[in-house]
Amino acid sequence: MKVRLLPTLAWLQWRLIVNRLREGGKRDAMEKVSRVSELVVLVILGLLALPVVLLLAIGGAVAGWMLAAGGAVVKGTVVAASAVAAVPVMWVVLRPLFSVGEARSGSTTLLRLLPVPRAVFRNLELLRSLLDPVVLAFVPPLLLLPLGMLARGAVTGGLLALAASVLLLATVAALGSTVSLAIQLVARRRGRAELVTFALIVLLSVAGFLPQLFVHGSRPRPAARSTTAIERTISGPSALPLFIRYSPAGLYGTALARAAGREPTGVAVALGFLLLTAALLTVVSQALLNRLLTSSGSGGGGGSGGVEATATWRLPGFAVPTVAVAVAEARAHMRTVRGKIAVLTPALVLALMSIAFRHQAEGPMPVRMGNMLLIFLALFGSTGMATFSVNQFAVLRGGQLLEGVLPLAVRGLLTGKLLATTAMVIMATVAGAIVLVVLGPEVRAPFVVAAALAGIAAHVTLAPVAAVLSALFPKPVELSAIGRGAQPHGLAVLINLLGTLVALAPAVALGAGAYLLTHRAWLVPAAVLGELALAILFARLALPVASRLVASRGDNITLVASGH
Amino acid sequence: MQYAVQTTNLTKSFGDTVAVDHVDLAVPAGAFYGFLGPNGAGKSTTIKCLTGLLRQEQGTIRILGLDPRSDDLDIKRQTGVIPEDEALFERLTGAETLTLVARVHGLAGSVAQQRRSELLTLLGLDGAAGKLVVDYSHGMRKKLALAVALLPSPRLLFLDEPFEGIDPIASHQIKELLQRFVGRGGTVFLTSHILEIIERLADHVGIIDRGRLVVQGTIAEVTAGRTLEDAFITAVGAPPAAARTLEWLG
Repeated sequence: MKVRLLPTLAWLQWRLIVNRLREGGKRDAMEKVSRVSELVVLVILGLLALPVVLLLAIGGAVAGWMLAAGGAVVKGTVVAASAVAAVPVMWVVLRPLFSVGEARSGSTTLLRLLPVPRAVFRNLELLRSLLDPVVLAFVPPLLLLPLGMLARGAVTGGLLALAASVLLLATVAALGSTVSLAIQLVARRRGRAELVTFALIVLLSVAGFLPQLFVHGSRPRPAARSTTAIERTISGPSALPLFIRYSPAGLYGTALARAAGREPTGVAVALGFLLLTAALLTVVSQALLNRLLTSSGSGGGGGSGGVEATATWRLPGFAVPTVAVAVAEARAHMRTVRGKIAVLTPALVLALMSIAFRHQAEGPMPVRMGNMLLIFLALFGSTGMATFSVNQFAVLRGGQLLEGVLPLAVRGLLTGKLLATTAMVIMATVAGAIVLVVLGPEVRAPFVVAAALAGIAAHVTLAPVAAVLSALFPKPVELSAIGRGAQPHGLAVLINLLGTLVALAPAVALGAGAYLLTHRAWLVPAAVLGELALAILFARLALPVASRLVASRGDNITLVASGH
Repeated sequence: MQYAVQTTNLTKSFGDTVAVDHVDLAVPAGAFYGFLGPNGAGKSTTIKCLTGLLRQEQGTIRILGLDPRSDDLDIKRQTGVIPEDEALFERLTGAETLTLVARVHGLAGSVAQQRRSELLTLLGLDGAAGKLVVDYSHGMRKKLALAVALLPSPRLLFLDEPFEGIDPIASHQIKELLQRFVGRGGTVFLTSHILEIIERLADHVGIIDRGRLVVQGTIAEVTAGRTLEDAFITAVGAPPAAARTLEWLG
């Protein structure tokens, strides 16, 4: 029974992949081109990865050969092999975290209703981690390393290294399965999943800047008394911190080092720890799977809030329906993980950059660093909101259909959408500007105001282009996801980025011109304010043109919004 | 006779698939029109064309005597729609959704407040009015979609499977509400797979099969003394009798 199921389940995975290429039969040629171009990028990435996989495999065999040769190269080879082994281990931990917002599909419900033994689910979960393309790429070097040792005549060492590789892969499978199932359990409650996603995205944003906080400027640092991790590994695994020594990759490295040194007891201990880790993780993953299969998930998020009054929002110069759309969309966007991230990111990143720059300078921040912060502030305005601005018809899903049946002219609708994203850009840039003024007092306040205004102006200038890009490349997204699932179409993002650079140019030219001619800092924001007025005028003139193009793509927008 | 909905040669294709094939609909003003058809027959595509969500390739459409190509907004101001797919903002609450609709339709604050409150109470959503739609059950979403369609007090309602997933009590209330709506001169264009509902509520019926309108008329003309189920099966062609097939099924 179980054996018969395996080809069926393999076929199922294959069809799911193939049918992804076929879905959306109702869509037009433009939409199909848009989808295929996304796939082409993946294919190119896959092709580029092939030489890396080949190099890793050769590296594995060579490492085995060197380990069998013994001598001074052993320690370095063990460090390298451990580092390579750490990659799939870290990958199976991180990958499920990146899909936490997408893990609520319940795609296994049908399988759970069919007479599939629970053991098959358990094995499938383990197999799924091993069949991950990134993990698969590390299987050849892990298996060729023992072969390299065997080829050099180190039979016992080679066999022990083979056992270490097999146990490492078993640990990777069990670890991947455990993390993935734990994430699925967390993700069964929307609110909890979104909180985890939000925390992870913030953590990832912050993580990139952490090394800079520890880098000092020009002043030479006294040589550290403590040795680096690599040196400690070379001087003996026991010098490493416990968590590295007893991590799967650390245990694997220890096993290799002992196998190369022909220390059977040492190898046995390391292999024993690896076996114990794999067994424990398998037990935990099975317990998690049982919980997933036997308990029902509650999709609920937060509790029910209060009911607001139906007071009419007004904004001079805009029709009430347009403002209603703006308010509804801004609210809807801000309640997604991506919306919160889009608004908070500039302030967070600028705060970290300011701290890192001050730390690096060890004194007042140099002008070039201040200018860099100003450029970031201006850039974030438009690029940070790309999730919503260049995919404005697909992010709302059913909300877009509702707007489609309400008495709204396309132009009014686009204006409402522009007001919504502009409100978010203003929130983001104001927060970023405040952070910059507080944490970077060397950056002159009028320049900060000018940079914020330039970012807003670029966003407004690009609004008609963003509307057209959204109509040409609508991509269904999950706004609570971390990875590509939340990203707009790649081409739309690229065009938006290039457009932002172009749209910023007039503001930069006007601001710089005003300062160079008059040397009065307060004239810079005034000049950029003039550019903002021009941007609003341009958007008002260009939106009707964009509206016509958007209207001509109405069928496709409806089909994307309704998930066809 | 005045028609609330009238189409001539309405045609819509997706690639090689003709979803709606030269359909001539005639829905009298004040009628309760049941639009029937097997799965994939073209009902939802027809409704999407009639409500402006999709553009027809051929043919003409008149809604309340107006042409959607030139009077799109006027038509939308006088119609309420529940499309096949959930047309709701996931990240707005039920109350906020109705507020949006009220504002777009230009309803005064007090009127909007009163209608919203009555609709939420009638549909049993008053306790969930402050909850995000993403946390609603399927039935609650259908009820909210109905509230959205009714809020502007339209002259014409397009309802695509409005009873799907609705509990019996709410279903009973909705049926009464729709009958009252028609009784006061409104027109309902409704699709449903539950023939008993159509048989009980509708006075006019149209049956579509593989994109073509095969039967249309008053319910008495269409049924001609038979049950609606018999008339429907005759119109769309019955599959092979179950008794003669699936003999392996015990």
